[in-house]
Amino acid sequence: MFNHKNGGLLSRYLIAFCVITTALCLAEGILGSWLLPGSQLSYSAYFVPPGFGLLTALTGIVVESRRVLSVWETVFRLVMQWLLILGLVFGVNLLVGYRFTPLMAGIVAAEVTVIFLFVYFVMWLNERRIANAFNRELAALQFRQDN
Amino acid sequence: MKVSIRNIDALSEEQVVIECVSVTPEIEEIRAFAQAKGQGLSGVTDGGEMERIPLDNVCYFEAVDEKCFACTEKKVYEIRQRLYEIEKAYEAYYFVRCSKSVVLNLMKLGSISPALGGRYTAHMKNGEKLIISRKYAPAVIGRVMNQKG
Repeated sequence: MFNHKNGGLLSRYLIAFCVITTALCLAEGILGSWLLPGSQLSYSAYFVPPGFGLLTALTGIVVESRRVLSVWETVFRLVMQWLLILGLVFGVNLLVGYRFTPLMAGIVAAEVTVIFLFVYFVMWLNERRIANAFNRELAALQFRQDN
Repeated sequence: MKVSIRNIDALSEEQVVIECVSVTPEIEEIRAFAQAKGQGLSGVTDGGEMERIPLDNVCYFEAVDEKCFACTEKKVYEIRQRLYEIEKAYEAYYFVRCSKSVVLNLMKLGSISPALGGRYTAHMKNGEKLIISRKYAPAVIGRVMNQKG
């Protein structure tokens, strides 16, 4: 049986959280060993990707709406969400006393953008998979009805 | 399955009798199909003429400014019922709510494709495109996916 909750709110947020956390781990590993190769981190550093993953996944609330949004309204809200995530990343770093150089700030902004787009790409792939399965079942249902 | 047809004189006496051991999903489908064939509703055209609309000709129902319209492939009719009444009354005939203002006929749906932000685009067989909102997408998808026979 197909679960009615599939493709729903909870699964969207869970996908976002998992993809962001994984992508952050990879990005921190790659960028950290490139830009700060001598840095030593404590075990508490393990909490950073899931922490940011949770916070940034929750920014998805920006695109929630009770009414059906037009394409441009959706795009506008997505841009708002992206700006909110940027603000969150730089804001938290400022709060803990970390100062970015302009180069680092640019790299972090690019990293956030790539991860943001990647999350939506993964969600689109998931929705396309659901749509393909739906279309197959719909064709079968209509065939049974017609015959 | 054995099928028998008996000719009768009165149109009002026409009926389909299903004799079965148990009411399986296939039997439910046959019942829904038979009921839909006889179903129809009245609507008013642009020209103000009252017409009978066979239910299986309706692609979707749409509510606009407190009015409800039945859209077929060629014509649009204004109807008296409210959208929530339509949704409830024709649920068994493969009509399903896809957004706050639209109830679509799954039998007139060609396919769906993902749209931005968890929504889907419904490509109707007549070429029209409707939006399946994120709120109603799980119900629309579940309605078809749970019909596996």
